[in-house]
Amino acid sequence: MFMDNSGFVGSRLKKAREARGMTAIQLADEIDVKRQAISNYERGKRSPAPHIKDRFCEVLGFPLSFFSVDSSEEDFQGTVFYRSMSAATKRARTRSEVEFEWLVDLVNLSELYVEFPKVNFPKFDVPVDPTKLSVSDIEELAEKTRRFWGLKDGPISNSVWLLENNGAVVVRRNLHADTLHAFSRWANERPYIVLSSNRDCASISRFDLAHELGHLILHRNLPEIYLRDSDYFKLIEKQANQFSAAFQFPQAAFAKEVVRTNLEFFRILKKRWRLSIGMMLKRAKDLYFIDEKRAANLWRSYSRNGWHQREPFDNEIPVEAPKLVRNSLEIIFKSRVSGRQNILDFLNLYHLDVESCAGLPEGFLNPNAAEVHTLRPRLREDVQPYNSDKAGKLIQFPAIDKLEN
Amino acid sequence: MNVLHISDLEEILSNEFSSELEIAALRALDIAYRLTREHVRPPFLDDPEAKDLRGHYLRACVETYWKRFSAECQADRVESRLNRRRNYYHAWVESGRIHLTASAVADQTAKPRKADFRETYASDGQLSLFDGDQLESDDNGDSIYGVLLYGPSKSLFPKFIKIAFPDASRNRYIPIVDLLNKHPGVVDLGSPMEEEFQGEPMPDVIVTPDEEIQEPELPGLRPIPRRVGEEGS
Repeated sequence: MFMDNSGFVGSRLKKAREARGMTAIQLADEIDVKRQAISNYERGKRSPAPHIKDRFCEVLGFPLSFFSVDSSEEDFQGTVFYRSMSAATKRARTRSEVEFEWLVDLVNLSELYVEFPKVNFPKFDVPVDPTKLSVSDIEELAEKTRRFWGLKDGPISNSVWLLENNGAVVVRRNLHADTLHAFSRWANERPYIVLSSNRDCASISRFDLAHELGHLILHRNLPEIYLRDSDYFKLIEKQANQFSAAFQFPQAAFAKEVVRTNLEFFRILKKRWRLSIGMMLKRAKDLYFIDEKRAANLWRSYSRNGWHQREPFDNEIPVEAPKLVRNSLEIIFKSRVSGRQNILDFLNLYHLDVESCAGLPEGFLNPNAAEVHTLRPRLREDVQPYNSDKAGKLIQFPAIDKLEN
Repeated sequence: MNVLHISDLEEILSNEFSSELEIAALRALDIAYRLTREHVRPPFLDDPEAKDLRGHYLRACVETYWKRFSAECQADRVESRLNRRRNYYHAWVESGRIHLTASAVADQTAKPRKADFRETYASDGQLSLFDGDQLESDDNGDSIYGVLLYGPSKSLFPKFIKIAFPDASRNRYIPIVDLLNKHPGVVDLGSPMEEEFQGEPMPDVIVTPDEEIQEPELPGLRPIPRRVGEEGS
């Protein structure tokens, strides 16, 4: 870390820029300095003049204190699992990672005051090399995970709550790219799952969540280098999908309940299992309930029904909302052990950024927002009889234009 | 005695029953299935009644449009005929020596439902028709009775449409032309997998009980706030 005499930390400028999804050139243009100057500031080779710092605050939307603190440089000791590693999502991924650091800071801060659920995730002896993991291993691990949490083979009523109850931090927020559906990571021995708020379909979101759970369990020890190899990347994505399907719709239940393999039957199953018809179709094929030809026919019908865009019941099944982070903050504020401004000061962020990183409603952390109190009417102690014999005196209010300012 | 083989019949069909007439039959089936899909369903009818009506409605549509389209294609004779008991009509399409009625069957191997008129046409005709793969009959140029086989009638879309001829014993019908294969693209085959009629009663399923997940409890406030960097809870 490099800090100049005024306390300006170059790497924080880079983080701020990445958080806004800006390139160095774009920032240089906005500030009206050369691109090289931005590079020098970020690498700590030069210190920006006070008026340039002000411009950074203005353009990037951070308090000055953000650039003076060296925080969140810690290594979270975990690989980040994205659904897409394409170049198209690179800037969005970087942006999401910066926001993820803020989320971890927020959780760490909250944990000073409240007790989060203890992390209760199974630790299986999973080979580090994903090629050593077979399909049947994954089925078995998904089943073991259910058993670990005391679940049998039925539909999970709320997958987000299940993970939150077992110590995971789950947030649903904007991930800045349509193709970035979710990501997950272990940080400070706690599992984090970030879901995209763009995926407003409950059944797909439940699958995404279990997919990330798959990464957290199957690929916990996977070195990041594997993700840079496209073949490995595809393999681990496939494994997470297999885990998700096996976890959400166990083989035993599938065998018991899927007595017909047509779209109408899957449509009926969807209502109870809250899983997409497409996912069930794929599972039917993977479990050899249907052959290639039959699967192809079903997919054709699926497309013809327009279900790639919207499946039946997608508007009816509610999307599962995370509660843990919001509940924790509410407890903190209610008990007055800390206030909104304290939290923001600690994180050196404005409220919109903290709300965004934790998927909280806009204004939730606004220190200037008026607090809403629920007023309850109280009984008067000196009850006046309704039919008082003292006549009321009529007061004439002056007309508005005669009122003084 | 002249012996007619199946190949001979294929030739007679191709000479005397034009491609236009074959396509007319396919168009009739296409529109009949579509109308049935659109009309025989909730909210117009409840599922059980729709299920009961479906086959009848489909048959009525098939016969109506088959007659209309065949007439447009200059078939020799197109009419509705009464059965022997004079209580039911059936469509009759005649082109050259080929005389056809239409019949729905549950699957490709099923035999059309026994009907007096069908028995009569098959036996009163000129040929006793098939025995094995040949016609052991005088081919004296008389008419040959066949059936436009289609189905299943409970399905939303047709799965097969064929012209078939009864064998000598009339115990089975042997398809000679597979019209769907011969004229692809005329009929909307929809979702071949959706063969089960949507209103079919669902099979009994052993339902796996739900895993009820409790809403997360509100996190407890620490009696003494932890200090930054302090381990454990």
